[in-house]
Amino acid sequence: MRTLFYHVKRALGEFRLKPGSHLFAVGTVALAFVLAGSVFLVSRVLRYASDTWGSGAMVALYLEQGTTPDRVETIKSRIMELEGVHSIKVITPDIARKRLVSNLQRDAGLVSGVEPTFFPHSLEVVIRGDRETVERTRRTLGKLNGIVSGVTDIRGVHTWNRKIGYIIDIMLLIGMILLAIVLFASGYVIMSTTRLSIESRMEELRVIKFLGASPSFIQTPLLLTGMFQGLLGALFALGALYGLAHFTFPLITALVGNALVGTDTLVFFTPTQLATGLTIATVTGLISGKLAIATIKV
Amino acid sequence: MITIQNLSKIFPKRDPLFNGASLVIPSHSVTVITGPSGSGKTTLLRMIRGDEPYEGGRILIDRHEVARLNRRSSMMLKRDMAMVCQENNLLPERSVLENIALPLRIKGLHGTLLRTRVEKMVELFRLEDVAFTACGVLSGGEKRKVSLARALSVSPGILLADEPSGGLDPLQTIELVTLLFALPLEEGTTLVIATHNQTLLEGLGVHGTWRIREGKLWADEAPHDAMVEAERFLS
Repeated sequence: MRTLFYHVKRALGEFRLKPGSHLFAVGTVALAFVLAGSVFLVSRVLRYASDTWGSGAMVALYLEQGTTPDRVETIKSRIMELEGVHSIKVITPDIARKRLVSNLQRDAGLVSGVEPTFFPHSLEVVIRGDRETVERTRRTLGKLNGIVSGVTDIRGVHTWNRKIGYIIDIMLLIGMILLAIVLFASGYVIMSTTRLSIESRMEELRVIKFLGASPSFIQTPLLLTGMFQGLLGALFALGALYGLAHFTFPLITALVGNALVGTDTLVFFTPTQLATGLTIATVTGLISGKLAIATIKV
Repeated sequence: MITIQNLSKIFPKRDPLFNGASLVIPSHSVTVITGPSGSGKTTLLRMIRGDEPYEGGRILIDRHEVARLNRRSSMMLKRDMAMVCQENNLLPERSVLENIALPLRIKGLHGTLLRTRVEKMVELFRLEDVAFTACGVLSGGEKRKVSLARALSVSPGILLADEPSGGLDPLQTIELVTLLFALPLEEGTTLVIATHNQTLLEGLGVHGTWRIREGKLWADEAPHDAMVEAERFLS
């Protein structure tokens, strides 16, 4: 433990010796993580909005002419058992006719001569829940057409939920690609600074080796330096992202309203996401340091 | 005990060095290897420490052949076999205290144990005034003292000193000789000194002196037959 403490001290001392190059590495990591983090954060805000908007998703099931009320009740009770189904409204031909009349307003006379039985019996299913739940239940309902006797057609009243889902998926994909690129770039910068560090300390490392130091004794401070660069970069990025979210979130909610964003509290990463981000940055630093050591013979 | 048997070292475009040389350096003894500059004294010390490969023969530390040690064993051997080089091998940006403490840290010593040992060395070598000074700004004599203090700080089983008086005036040489003998003899260290300095030789109470001449090792004051002793030890 004390040896590790000594190595940590040496690694931090390295920052004092060459602050310029280490700050450059930390800054690059921070910038890279701000870029990738922004995309993830935007997709997170969109998910919030999508989940909230998804609370009113509606699917209409059109029933065969002459479906008995018992059959309607059976279908209704089966659908009620599905995940996320909030309510089911039975639309009788009469209600359907009245709605159409109301919508047509001045042209209501057009349907005056139409038989009430012309209008189909239907069920309006309201699904609530997050985007995945809504999408899953919508798909399940879509499969009922032709399988459940009495159901003739199924229409998704709102398709925006699916569309925003695609946007989120695309944003996540972009975020992932961006993350891969920035991890590579950050790793390369950390590797370069570690290499510089090794090259400038070659004589010192030779002396330490001469005194019988093990490879781990020589390498640990260098690896720790890389890890600190990654960790510090990620911490700075988190600070910057928090600041960004803190200032932009009220602007967004002021522009589009809380109801549209879906929440009035600041949207930021969860503790698990934060821990994952910091771990990824630290491991990137470690791997880059290891690669730098592997490419130079000490 | 250091046993050298039929040792030979080949350099490109040069006559072989130590063509079949043998010698035995008993434990807790002081042995001097002497010879003119460039005769191979440093090379011999480096070969004993495993830093320089050799083409023929064997070098054994106790019963372990240096050339056949794996990386870990070689590392452990180096921790127990300190060497004072002509160039001192100090870390110029680090203080005297840090330089002396370094091999102790490598050995895994910390806290009070480390501090006590470093303080003892600083006191013994009278380095109190420069304890916190970076080694890069010390005089040649002070650097040599730090180098020696660092080597002895770990109480090595074997101390190889290469031209320990190099660059020192006669007064400093006498002081160094006193220091060189003070701790190793007290702590049972086997001392091997390579030097061409006659003043140093005169000041030393050695158990054996070996002279390198024309690429060969000659016993100066060791009446015994080194080869016979080496064979006897190995059998």
